[in-house]
Order: sequence, then C-alpha cells, then structure tokens
Amino acid sequence: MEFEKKQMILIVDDNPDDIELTTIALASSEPDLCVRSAQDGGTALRMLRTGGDPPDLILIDIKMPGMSGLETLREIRADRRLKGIPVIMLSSSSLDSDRESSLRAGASGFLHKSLSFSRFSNDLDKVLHEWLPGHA
Amino acid sequence: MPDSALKTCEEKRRHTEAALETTLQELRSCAARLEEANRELESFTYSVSHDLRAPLRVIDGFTEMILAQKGPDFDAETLRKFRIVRDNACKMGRLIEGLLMLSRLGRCGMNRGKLDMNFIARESLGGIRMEEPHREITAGIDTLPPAEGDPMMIRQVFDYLLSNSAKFTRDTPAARIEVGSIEKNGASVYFVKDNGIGFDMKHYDRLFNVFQRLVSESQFEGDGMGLALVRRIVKRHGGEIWAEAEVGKGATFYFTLAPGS
Repeated sequence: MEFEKKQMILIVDDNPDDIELTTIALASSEPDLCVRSAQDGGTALRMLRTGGDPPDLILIDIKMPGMSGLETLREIRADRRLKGIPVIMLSSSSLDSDRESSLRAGASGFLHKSLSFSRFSNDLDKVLHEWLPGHA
Repeated sequence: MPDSALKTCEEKRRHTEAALETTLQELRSCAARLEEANRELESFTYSVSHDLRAPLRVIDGFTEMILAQKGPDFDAETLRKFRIVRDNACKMGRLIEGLLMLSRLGRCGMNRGKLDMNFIARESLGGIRMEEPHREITAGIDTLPPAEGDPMMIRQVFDYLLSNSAKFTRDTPAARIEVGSIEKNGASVYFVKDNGIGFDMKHYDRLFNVFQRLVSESQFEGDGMGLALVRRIVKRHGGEIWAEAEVGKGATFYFTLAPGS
C-alpha cells in the first residue's frame, strides 16, 4: 500500500497565539496539511537544516526579536539546499515598506496579517492556491 | 584706502564669517534634530502599525472562532456582551488605521496636477449616494473652478466632507447638500454645505482635532478622524479649512487649495 505524503508547512513566528491562528486558518483551508512551527529564526533554520524533508512552504513573520524575519529569509535563500522553497513573509503592518523589503530579500510573496481573521484566512487560502502544488 | 579703514573692513569680514559659520552650525544641528525626529516618527508609525495591531487580530481571530463554535449555546445576554467585545476590538482597529493614515498623509509623496473639481465632487457624491441608496437627499454641485493638487487626496476631502453631510442630515426631513465655490482675495474657496444638525460654534476649536467628536457616537457613528485627515490634506496643499455652523440649521465647510487655485 502506498501512502501519499502530507504536504508540510513551516510557520516561523515569535507570537504563539499568532502561530495558533495561522495553523487554524491553514487547517480550514486545507485540512490535510502537516504544520510545524518555530518561534524564532535560529530554531527555524536548525529545523530546516537537520529535520529531514524540507517543507513545501514557509511562512515567516517579518518582525521577530533576535534574528528578524528578513534575516531568516536571507539565510534560507543563501542555503543551497533550502533556497528553492517558497517563502511567504507575513506582517501585521500595513506599510508598503514591509512588502518591498520582503520581495527585495527574496521572498516569494507577502501576506498582510489582516485585522479581520476571516479576511486573513481568505488571503492565506489564495497563497496556498498559488504556492502549494495540488492545493484545490 | 587708508590702513585703518582696511583693518576695519577686515574685522567686519571676520565678524561676518564667524556669524555665518555659527548660523551654519545651528542649521546643521537643526537638520540633525529634524532627521532624528523623523526617524522617531517613522519608528513610532511602524510600532503603531505592527505592535498595536498584532494583539487586536488575535482578539478578533479567537473571538470569531468562539462565536462560530459556541455562539449557538450562548444566551442572549452573553451573546450581546460578546459582540460588544468584538465591536470594540474592531473600533480600536479603525482608530489605529486612522492614525496611520494621518501619519502617512503627512509624509507620502503628492502627485500634483490639474484638478477638475466638478468631476471629483460628482464622483464623490455618486459614491456617497451608492452607500445609502434609499435616502432622498437633494444635492447640487455648482460649477467649480479648477484647482491644482493630488487628485486622490482631494477626492478624500470631498468623500469625508460629503459623507459627513450625508450622516448629519440623516434625521433632517428634507436633507439638502450643496457643493459650491466663492472667490475670496483672488483665491477660489470651495464649500460643502448641508442643512443637518450643525454644531455649536463654541466647540469650534476642537473640530479638526484627532479623535474629537462633537456629537455622541450613539447618535452618529464615526471615530473622530475624518476632519483631522481633511485638514491634513488641505494643509499639505498649502490651503486652509474652516467651518460655520449653527445647531439644528446645518454646517458649511470651506477650503482653499492655495497656491494657484
């Protein structure tokens, strides 16, 4: 019997409440995902470098204490094994500068963490459509 | 020229050079302080934008989930109180957005160009009518002289002023809104006039302040940001804004878009 492997998403966000919200939004969009999380850039990089199969998509909060989201992204893009993974940067800020700096640093996309949870869920669903192969 | 006169001239030159150097140093110091203040403002805006919004969206997200999962089990009173929590989180979000918009308006670049004020006012009025299609408002736009400015920003000015007029004429039996212009000291003065509830001119000094409301929110919704935003836009165009009103008889808001208008 052959099992289809679940697609995996890594959330990197210093706020555990935000991680939970994003996980719930992901589950409502695609129930069959495997979601992992890290609360800082260093932990995320360790997981990526030592944790077996790389994720299909990475969501990184732009503003984190210590290693920032952008620094984490740059490390990923500089790593030969990881650089091809789609990375979407997330920010609560609605400033255009966050989007611009994310794309400049090599992000595949940018997602504004809308104040409205339902709008955020819809936006996240669009991201999955665009970046997760086979997402219906 | 005798030696003494030359010496005096030389001394004067030295004095002038020293004074100039002092002025230059003061200017450099002012520029550095201004740069520092701008950096602080930028950092403050970012904090408002990011740090204050983050907890709000957690509140919105989890209360929405609780409402969806447990809402049907709530009794009416619990449901009412729960909605108050959600409405207030929502309101705080709007206030933060308003503050951000105000901050951006002060700093963002302007796309100045010739403005067809008639077109902008008509478009804005059309939008306001669409929001409340059931309402009967008699609205007229006089022929307005053209102006110079940023079309998006001036559209916002009309949007705010006209939606204010629509809001505050809601209880007026024959609501009337008029957009027009007069000439004052060679400059075009545009106005938006209504026959709504008006306001007491003794509160005038607070009218354009941020988060200031002259009527209670339970009577007329709003967050007290609109007129502060309008004033910021008009000021950025080098213009002035002022108002005249009388309780129960309506209000008129005047603005100029100097120079060159």
